[in-house]
Amino acid sequence: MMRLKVKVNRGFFHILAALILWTSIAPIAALMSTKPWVYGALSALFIVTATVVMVSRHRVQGGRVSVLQSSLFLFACLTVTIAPITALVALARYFPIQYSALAALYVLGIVGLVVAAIAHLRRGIIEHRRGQGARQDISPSRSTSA
Amino acid sequence: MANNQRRLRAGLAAIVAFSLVVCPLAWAGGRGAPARAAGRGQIDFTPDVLLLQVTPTPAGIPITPVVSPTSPFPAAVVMIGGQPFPFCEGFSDASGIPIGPTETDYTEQYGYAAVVGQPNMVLMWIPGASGRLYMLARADDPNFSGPMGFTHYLSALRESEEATQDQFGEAALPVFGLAGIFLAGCLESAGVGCIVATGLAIGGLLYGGLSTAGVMLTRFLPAVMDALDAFYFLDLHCP
Repeated sequence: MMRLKVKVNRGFFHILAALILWTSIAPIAALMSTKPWVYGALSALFIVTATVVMVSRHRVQGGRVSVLQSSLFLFACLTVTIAPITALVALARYFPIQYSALAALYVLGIVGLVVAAIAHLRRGIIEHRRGQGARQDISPSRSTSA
Repeated sequence: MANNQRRLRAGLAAIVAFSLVVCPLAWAGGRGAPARAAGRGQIDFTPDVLLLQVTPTPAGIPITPVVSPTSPFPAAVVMIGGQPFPFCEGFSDASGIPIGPTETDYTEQYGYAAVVGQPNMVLMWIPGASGRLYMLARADDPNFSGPMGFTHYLSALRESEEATQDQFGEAALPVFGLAGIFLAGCLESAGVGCIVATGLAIGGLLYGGLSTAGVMLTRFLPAVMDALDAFYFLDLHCP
């Protein structure tokens, strides 16, 4: 199952590109506020380049992706939400609502994009199984005809 | 034979009856009797103690009446720009107070500023239940500028915020790793190198997230509490 490769449409890659962009916003903002702005600018440039390349590579059609790799990738994006969720739970009462709203928006954005990517992946898995079932249906009929 | 038994029983009963009468009398006439008898008489007791010499209490040192340090402000209300503002008391609207350069934390929710035209007076603020809570205080008040004063805890709060941001900013590196994995086409392959790279990125992100959460809970949250305590302490212990 985990070694499985499934076919996904280009929307999956676009969602992952958006996920990378969205996930990197908060760490890069934090980086810019504590380190020289050059680091933040270079980081933003790298992230934007990576996403643009990825989107342009899958601009027309999708491709086959590893379920294991995709799952790990999505899990990695979810781990970024640990810090903002902690801030929301433990510190919300000491800060104005705007800060909590920003943290909630950031977390919801990541979760929403991850859910959308999982939906694409799930569709790919279902189609893959359907395809396998069709092949199994075909092969016994071939053996009987032979 | 029966007569002998009857005689023995009668004798035993006589001895028991005799002892019932005699034993309490013997006890009453024993050790306690002389004491009780003496208690009924008059006791003449002279303690064998030397007479104490009473020395007169020295006269107290005259203490001059304690005078609290004079406040530069005549009363608990300060007139600023023709408007009265409570001094050393929390209030919610400071729109009429002209302030100089401010010192705040990163969120600008905790801070203070010198009041323009009022020497030695500062305006402090913290977040309240509905908007900011302000307070006017003396700049030289030890509870404001002392080693355990509001300014000290505000600096500590700022440092803890910097530490939190620094820690969270380090999470950017694993995000680069994710972008690199994305770019290298690792999603399409399930090779060992790609899995290891993704695992490292996950490890970095987990470490970054957990350490940031740790800094928030162990440094940032106590610093916020200290700043709030310092504000309310000044409110209660204003000269």
